[in-house]
Formats: sequence, C-alpha cells, structure tokens
Amino acid sequence: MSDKNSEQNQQPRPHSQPQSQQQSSHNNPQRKKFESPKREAIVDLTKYKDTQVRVKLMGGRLVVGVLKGHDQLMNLVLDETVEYMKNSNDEVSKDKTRELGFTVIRGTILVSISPVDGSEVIYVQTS
Amino acid sequence: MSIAEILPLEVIDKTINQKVWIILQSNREFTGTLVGFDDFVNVIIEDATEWTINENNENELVMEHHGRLLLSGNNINMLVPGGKKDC
Amino acid sequence: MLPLYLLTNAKGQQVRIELKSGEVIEGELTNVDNWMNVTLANVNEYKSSDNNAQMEVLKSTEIYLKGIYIKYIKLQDDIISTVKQQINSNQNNNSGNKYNNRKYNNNNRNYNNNQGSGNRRNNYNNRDMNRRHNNNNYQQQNRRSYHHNPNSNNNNNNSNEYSRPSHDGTGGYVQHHTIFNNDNENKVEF
Repeated sequence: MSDKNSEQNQQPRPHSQPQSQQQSSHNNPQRKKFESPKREAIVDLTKYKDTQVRVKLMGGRLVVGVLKGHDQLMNLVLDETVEYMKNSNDEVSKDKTRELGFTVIRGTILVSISPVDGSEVIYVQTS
Repeated sequence: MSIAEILPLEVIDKTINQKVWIILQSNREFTGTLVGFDDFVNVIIEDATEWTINENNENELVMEHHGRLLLSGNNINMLVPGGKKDC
Repeated sequence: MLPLYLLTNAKGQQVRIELKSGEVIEGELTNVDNWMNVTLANVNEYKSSDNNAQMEVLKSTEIYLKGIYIKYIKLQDDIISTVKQQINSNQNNNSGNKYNNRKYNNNNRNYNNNQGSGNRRNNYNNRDMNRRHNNNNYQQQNRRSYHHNPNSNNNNNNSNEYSRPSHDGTGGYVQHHTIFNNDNENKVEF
C-alpha cells in the first residue's frame, strides 16, 4: 500500500536515468519476448587463422592443423594437418598419426572445432 | 597487406586437373586426377585408385578404376590436393 | 517453452553436452544458433560418460559444436524457472514499451520516462505474483497444447518426448541432474 504512494511520489523525477534505460531497451534485440536463437554464424573462425585447431569429424576422425581458411558452411582449409588414427580398440590415440599436409575439410561432417592454444590434457582420478 | 581469405572450394577448384587424395568417412580412400566437382562437393576423378586402411593403418589397394569416377560428396571427409605421398 | 529458446536464454550457464559418439563436453554456454550449434568457453572434454579409474580430460578455452551431433544437453536444474522469470520480466517491460511507443510518439519524453520508471516499479511488485500465476498457467497450457492436439505439426515428436522424459533423460526435464552434478564435481576436483 505504501508502495503505491511512494511510487506516485516518485513520478516527477529527473529523467536522465530512465531515459537511458529506455533507449537501451530500444536497441536491445531482446525486445521481442526474449532472446531467440541466432541465424548468423556464432563463431568467428578468422580469429583462429594461422593457429592450430583441433577438428573432430563424423566417423570419429580427429585432425589437428593450422587453419588457413574457411567459409560459411564451415568447410576448412588446414595446413600441416595431422590425423590421429584409431588404434585397435577403435580409440583415437596420440601416438598413431599420419601427416596429410594441406587439406580441405568438409563442413558437413565437422563435429567440433577448438583451438589448440591454451588446451591441455589432464588425468582425473574417479573413485 | 592482408592476404585474402583462402576459401575451401577455391582450393578444390585449383586442384582440378591435378592429383587429389580423397578420404571418406569410412576407412576408404581414393586417389586420382580431379576432373570436377559441384557445390555439394560431389567429385569426379579420373584414373582413380581405391584404397582401404586396415587395422594396422596400412594402405591396402582395393582396385584401380579406369576412366572417370563420380564420388558422392555425402561420404567425403577430407580432400588433399596433390594426392597421396608415394602413390 | 521451445527447446532452442530455453537454450538461448541459458547463455552464460554451465552445461554438459553428450555427443552422439558418447563423448561428454562441459563448459560455459556462450552462444547458440538456430541449428543448436553451440559454442562453449572453458571446456572440459571427456572421452565418454562411463567411469574408468582414470579419466583423460582435455581442457580448452573454447569449442564450437555442431548441433546435429549433440545427443543431449544437460542444463542447470533451475533453468526453467530462471528463464520463465526472464520471460515474464521482459514481457512486462516490453508491453510497457510498446504501449509507450504507440501512444506517445516521443513527444512527451518526460511523460514517457516517468512512465518507464513507473513500469519498472510495477514489474517488481507484480513479478512475484505473475510468476506464481504464470507458472501454473504455463505448464497447464503447455501440457494441454502438446498432448491434446494430435494433429498439430510438432505433436508427434513432442508428445513422445514429453511423455517419457524421465526414462532417458533427454527430454530436458530435471530428473538426472543431482547425480550428474555430484559426478562432475568428483571428476573435476581430482
């Protein structure tokens, strides 16, 4: 009850602050209901250009290479590409590799891509 | 001066009439001369050799195809311009 | 609540994604698109979810994942209520703004602005009530529309999924979560 009163009292107020608030909500894409999924690309691969990336492909292949180029469809151009081959247990292993060199990777079968920089392998004990 | 972005399909286009090594989703691979391709990266190669990779990651020759071969882009994982080493 | 909307509004939260290959990937959700392709930050990748004595974990700063290869995404337990809260507050704000825009053509800056702040107040006051109110409504409406329109487009899939979320944990509902969470903590603090 007292809320209502205080609210009315507050109506004539310096408007600098609310104004900015309203403007921000004008520019805000969240205005329609709430945020909807994006249609445009959500990752900018140009920032990985000329750096090593780890790419997983459908079918279980793992390749690491220097990203040289890409397109909208996530087709990739890699240089110094190394493929980590599966061992007899059908697992990708670190020791079985082969060099592919300069390659084009199809975007349609790409599963994941992540930068090699700043990545590390750790071993975790689970009890 | 920044070098313009290298586009994957452009790379494939430049390998036309050159040796190419095509790695499928399975352990099957083809080498041959790239004749052409489309937007889906369906590929036509000439005088292709078909390989499989066995459990020890050794190449096994399956067969030599004479003439042209159309390879569906569906199963293509990687293309390596220049072909396969020592093949 | 559409899955992609829920997901989009879960940005910034910690998620756990299992891929079709069985690999498990954890990280902070940073972006989502229409195809459920996602980007995560501060990522841990596990080979698979089953427990061996020692697990190899690949840590990386960022990852992009194809939506088509995702088996399921585990979100925070309270995600649905959090997002609903968001919707409610946004809707209130928006309806206020629309009203303002339509009715007063920016002539009355003063008036608008005051109205704006007033609205905000109102929202705060109403929010709790609205939420409680809407929670009930929302679920009932959802249920009804999903279950009682066998002809509508999505219905076949949805009704199936909605009717058995607790069995496989892929339905987006909340059953497994505490187990997973405990699990995670164990794994990460080695």
